[in-house]
Amino acid sequence: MVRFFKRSRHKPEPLVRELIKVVGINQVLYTAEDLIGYEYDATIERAAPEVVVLPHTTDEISSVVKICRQYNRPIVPRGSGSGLSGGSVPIKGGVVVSLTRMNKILDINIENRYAVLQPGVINLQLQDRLATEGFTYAPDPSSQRICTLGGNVANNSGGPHTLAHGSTVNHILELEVVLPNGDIARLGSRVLDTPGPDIRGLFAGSEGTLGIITEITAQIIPLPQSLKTMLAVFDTVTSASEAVSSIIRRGVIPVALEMLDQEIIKIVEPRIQAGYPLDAGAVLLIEIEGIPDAVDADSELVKAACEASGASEIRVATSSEEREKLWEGRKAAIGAIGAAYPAFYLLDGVVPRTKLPQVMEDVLAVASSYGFKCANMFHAGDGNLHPTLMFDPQNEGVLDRVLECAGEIMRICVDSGGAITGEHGVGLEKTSYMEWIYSQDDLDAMENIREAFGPADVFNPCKILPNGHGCAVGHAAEINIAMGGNQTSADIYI
Amino acid sequence: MSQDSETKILSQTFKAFKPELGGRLIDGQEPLFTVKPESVEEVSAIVELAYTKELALVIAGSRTAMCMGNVVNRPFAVLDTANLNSIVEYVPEDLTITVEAGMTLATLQFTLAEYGQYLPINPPPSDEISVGGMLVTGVAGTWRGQLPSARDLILGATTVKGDGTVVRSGGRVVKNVTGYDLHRLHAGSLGSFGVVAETTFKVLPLPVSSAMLRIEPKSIAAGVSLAKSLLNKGFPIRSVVLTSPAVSGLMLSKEEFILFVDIGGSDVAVRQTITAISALSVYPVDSTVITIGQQLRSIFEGDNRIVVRVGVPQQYIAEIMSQMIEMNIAVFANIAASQISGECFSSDSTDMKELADQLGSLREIVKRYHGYLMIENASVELRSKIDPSGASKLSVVDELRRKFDPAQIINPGRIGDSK
Repeated sequence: MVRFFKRSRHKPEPLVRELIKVVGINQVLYTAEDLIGYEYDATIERAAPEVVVLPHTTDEISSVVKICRQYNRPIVPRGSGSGLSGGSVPIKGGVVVSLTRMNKILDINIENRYAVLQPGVINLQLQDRLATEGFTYAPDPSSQRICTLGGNVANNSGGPHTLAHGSTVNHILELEVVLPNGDIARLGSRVLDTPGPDIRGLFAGSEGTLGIITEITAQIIPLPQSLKTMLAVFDTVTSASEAVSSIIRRGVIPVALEMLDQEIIKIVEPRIQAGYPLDAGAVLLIEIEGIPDAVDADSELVKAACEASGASEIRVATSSEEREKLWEGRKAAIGAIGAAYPAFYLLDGVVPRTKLPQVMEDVLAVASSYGFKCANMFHAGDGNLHPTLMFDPQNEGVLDRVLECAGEIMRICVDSGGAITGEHGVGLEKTSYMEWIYSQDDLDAMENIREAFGPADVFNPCKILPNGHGCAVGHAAEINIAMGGNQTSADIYI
Repeated sequence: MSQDSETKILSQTFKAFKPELGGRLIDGQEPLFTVKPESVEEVSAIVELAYTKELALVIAGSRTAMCMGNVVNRPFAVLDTANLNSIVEYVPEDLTITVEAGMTLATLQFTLAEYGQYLPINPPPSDEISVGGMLVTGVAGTWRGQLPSARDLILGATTVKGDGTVVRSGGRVVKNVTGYDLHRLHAGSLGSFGVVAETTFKVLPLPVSSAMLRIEPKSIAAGVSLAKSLLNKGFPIRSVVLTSPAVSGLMLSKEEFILFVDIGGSDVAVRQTITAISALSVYPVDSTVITIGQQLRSIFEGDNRIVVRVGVPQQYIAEIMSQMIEMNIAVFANIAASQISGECFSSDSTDMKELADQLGSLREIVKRYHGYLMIENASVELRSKIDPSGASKLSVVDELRRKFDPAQIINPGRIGDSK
């Protein structure tokens, strides 16, 4: 049965009327029932916007920004809402600008090796479209089936293949953006190394706090001639971590080097049948690309490194189906956790690669001391961890203990010379941890960046920086609770 | 009071930092004095003192790019980073290194090579460039395009704002989205947002093997076309450079279009690539000496040269390269990066106004193609007649400058309006 919500009968506020004038009645949502879907991202943080606008053009966005300034409302840009740090949650209300209707691939320019894209284009759609031409766009966050490229730029997203190819910022040539005063600016150009300060690079990863991205020119690269995906099986996380260093030491940089520990293998394998041995202490998923003979030679070096670190088995995918299955186990791991446990808390930290064995031991010890099971699937080559704490939300006081445990894990990352986020962003979740990394002078300089673009409370207030004007202190909240076992959290990826 | 007396009093104020009077001319002006700090703390103290005295500071590294950007518009002292040349932290297995910004790229590469690694950047004119200079000038080199540049590989930095405040951003991990990437702001900034004191870079394993191939295509179009087809094959190519007859003549005394293909990778990868390229090319393929790459980097070196760089989408490279040759510019094109570099031949009698007009017209054409033209090196006279960077005017850049250098004392005038 189709249910229809009746629209509220009260007369729209002047702000809403003005917005409707600019973008049209069908592009403005303002009734409570219409706003529910825009209250949250992939965390449990929630806050209702006053209005949601779904513009189709850059000019419309420029006008929307000017109206919001006139009515003194904060603006929160939003893509698919797949973020993992509360970055698109409108914590101070105001106007959410959803970019999902600006979802056109404007130009695939093979000759000049770039693609011009609207911000609402889905990452995987771009990759699929490019694959037909023998090209690809390298950054592949695990949420690529649903995340938007605008969101990727705003978060400087990573993914399994950033080890060799770098994060999103390394693949963006030019951005068209709407600034806090409503001006439209172009940052960069359609070729590399535009003269002048790298404002394009500064804007990437600014989490929607400096303006709205309305067009992206991204670099595209040819698909490799040859690709080899390997699975190396180890008895312990420590020996798998040692293999990671050993591979790098032999001068090989795989395009991807991912680790899954025993806890996550036990969750993933029965549900996805990726081919991971259930009795393994840890597996490494390793991908090498290049010209055929070189890939063969590098894979021999990788095998030798894994064997020297105690690998009990090394398997090479022999078909694209087998390769896809190996990757499915990795990319759908969080969905599998959602199906297996009533609640989990996904963390994102980054450490120097050489500290991985010790950090992993410490992380598991901390989780254990709190009585939590902890599953790990992460970008080992980059030292980018994603410990995931699983728990029962019905237990009294458990959320506080989860947050405390998570804080200790973040502290381990920081104390090892790492940082509090490798790819998910600071958002709302980790603002209070920023002082662990940066001095007040450092944070003031970041505030300077924000102020240079416009008043700090115009775009996405209370994100990234602690103690923002009128903001509560942020707290970790990347908790997903699948109540009643009906939700699988299949839309959460790392 | 005479200017000399004022200079002496001012240098006395900086006595603790052992100022040396005078120094090499910069933009035709003699520095009031030169100081060479030996630590981040000293940089901070010097800048703070300069801030209180409203004294302009020009930041000098290896001085390989002192004729880039607008003419410095105030009397100044020089803050020379030559003594900031230590390794702060290097863990080879992490593939990261933190060094002080005055270290030359050559010293950095020497250190990395001991562990079989390198920073995959080969900026002009040579590895004698300081790493801080490499970051703030944005110069990249022939590997750019196939390999990253400083703006891609920078992971973090310690910088000193125009009031002496020390600011750190990023970190020593290869993947990090903790807060704003302040260090990226300095890439291409010509040092306008403060002094870069320390930098952390991601590094890569050195290729085990390398080779340089030489091909002589019959025309620009044929050379560009062959280059693009090679780049699309996914070979481990580090650069494909097409030299004009003038540049080929300077390098090899042979005035032809020459395509140089720099290959780097494992032994087997290099061998397989050479074989494949030989099969693909309709022109003979010869091996040449690898130092050609160094020659290409240094070919336009020298303060008195007029060097321009054009970035333009690949489909326009042949057209723009032809136009530049017609303008009597000796050029070579880095096809992967879609960049054309060239030297405008000049003499004392060269009419700078006419040259500025010509370059201005060319800039308009490349801008229509969504590209850019910047003057990397030129005399004060030429840089006074045409905006050297050609960067878009963004009000946010001015605002950032005010926030990071409130008294506008660091490299004053280098970016933005030179007047």
